[in-house]
Amino acid sequence: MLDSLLALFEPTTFLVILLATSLGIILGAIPGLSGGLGVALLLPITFGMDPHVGLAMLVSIWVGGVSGGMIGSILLGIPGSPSSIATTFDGYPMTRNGQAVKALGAAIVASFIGTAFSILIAMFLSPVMARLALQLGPWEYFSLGFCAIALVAALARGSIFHGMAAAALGLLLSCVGFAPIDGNARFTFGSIYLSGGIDLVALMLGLFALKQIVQDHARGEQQIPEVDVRDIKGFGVSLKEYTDNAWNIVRSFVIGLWIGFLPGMGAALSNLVAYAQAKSASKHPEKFGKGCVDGVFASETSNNASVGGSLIPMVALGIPGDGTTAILLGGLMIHGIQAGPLLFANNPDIVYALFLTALLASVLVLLLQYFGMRLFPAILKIPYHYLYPAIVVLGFIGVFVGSSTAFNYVLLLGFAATGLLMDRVKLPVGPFILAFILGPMLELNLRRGITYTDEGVLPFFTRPVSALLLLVALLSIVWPYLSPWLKAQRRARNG
Amino acid sequence: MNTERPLGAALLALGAGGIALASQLSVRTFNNDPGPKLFPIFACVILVICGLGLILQRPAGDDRPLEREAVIRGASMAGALVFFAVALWLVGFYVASIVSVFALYWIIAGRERRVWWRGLVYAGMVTLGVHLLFSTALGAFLPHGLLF
Repeated sequence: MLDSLLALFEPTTFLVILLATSLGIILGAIPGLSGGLGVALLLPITFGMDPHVGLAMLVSIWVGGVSGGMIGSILLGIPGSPSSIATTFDGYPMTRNGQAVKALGAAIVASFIGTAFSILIAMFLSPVMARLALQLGPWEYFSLGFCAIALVAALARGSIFHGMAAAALGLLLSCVGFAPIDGNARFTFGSIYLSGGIDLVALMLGLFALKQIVQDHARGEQQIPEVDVRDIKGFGVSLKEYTDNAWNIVRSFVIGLWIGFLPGMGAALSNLVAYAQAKSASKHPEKFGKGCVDGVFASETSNNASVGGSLIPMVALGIPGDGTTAILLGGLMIHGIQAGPLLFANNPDIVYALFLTALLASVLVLLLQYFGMRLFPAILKIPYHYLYPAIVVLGFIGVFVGSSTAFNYVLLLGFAATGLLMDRVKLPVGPFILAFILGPMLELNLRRGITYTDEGVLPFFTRPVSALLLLVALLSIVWPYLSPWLKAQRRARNG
Repeated sequence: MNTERPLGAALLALGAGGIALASQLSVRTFNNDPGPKLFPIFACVILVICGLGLILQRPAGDDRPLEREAVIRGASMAGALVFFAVALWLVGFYVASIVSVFALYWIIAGRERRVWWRGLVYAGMVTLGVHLLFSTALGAFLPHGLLF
């Protein structure tokens, strides 16, 4: 391990890691781009590199990208990637309240805690935790996904009907395109552009970026928010705020790590679930969504904890935890390294290099963002008539680059209109996006669960973990109605 | 006007329509596989239940009505975005970007702040910046137009 650590501090390797981490932060911060895209784009460059250096570059971009996503979320209300959607819920209101630097400081600390500790856990517990993940079947995966959606829907603004309706719309939208298992085309209406499904980047940029630009212009909101640069010391978060959020951070960390290490899940899910849990457990849930630092802590700790979490199945089992780890896995294979149970025995140097690079990248992210957190808000000083046209161009080009089809412009505009309509009728965006992201995984596991036995849907309710998760989902749905009734009963009993 | 009951009715209609459409999917399946119908129907059933719930529950109160001026401003911005999408499709990135960034600058800046040459210089800078980032640095393809 010491050799791997020393190798990272060789001048060339260290410079590569530093540049790649910076690039990851920049890509993560730009709407429409992400660290994952950076990993995909730079994968071919690693072909001619030493495997250690190439892998270090890819891992650093990824770590930087996950953390950098919060910059756009906090300063512009536009998530750089799905992993920082929940950061917009309180990060952007904090910016509007003149607390941009404080929000960035909280997010930077939370990102570091999430990444560094999850990597340390992944480093030492990978084989044990990976075996645990293998115990879960499609029944548990389906129930976990449904439970996450129900939790987020129950805690969204509006009634539970609004939350669940938004989630159901997301699930329905995820059905567009080829169905899993049989490849049957659904709801494509004969269009080849829809057969691959709906583009997530177009959905995200439409719902957040374009919708917000139209809405701000319609409301005549051109006021540039104040920035709290002068009042900030250190990371801008007081010791009391850290201690008040200690349990929130621990809980969000566990959620992020757990969801990250389940194959097919990832930071896109963990940030929303951790946010919902933070709101539900808070003594002041009414402050959430209006600029509460607790929400930023929850979202950023959990999405970064998923980094270490998703490395666990990749390294120990050769199963990618999310899309980016799938590309990383490809990178390993290109260099002739087979991830899986034998990796620890055959290439321990690679395993340690992978974990130590991620750890070093998380420290570099912390330092780079600490010095940058006073500079990033300069973006807020740009008048909207300069800022918004650039965001529009980045949005349109962002959706084109991933797919090279002009049809995505239609999707982008359609989702901007959908976002405006959802806002008008009070349908929350969080459950909608979460359900859209989880839809394919839910359907695959629902069908697998039914197919694997002759008992139909029964195992979903008879397997203990699955049944428990479904019970939690049911309780979270009925609780808003059950709670007042129970209180009324108690009041009646007490006279 | 309250939006909950119209929303409930729309969700109900969408859910019912979705169930009807999904029911028409026919694929031969094996090993107890419920096929591609089940999941869309599952989502539509939730929509129907939520639609009924919104229709039957007591409305939370009237929503703020839309102001005419806000609608006009929003429509002008939406029109500019649609124009950009059509221009990208027809004439490609470089022309569409310069024209649309200038148009967006002109609309957002308003009468008090807009200066034509600043808008033009800014449109050129944004176009060049995006070209350098996507085409030069990342090696990605920028949109080509149908016409040229």
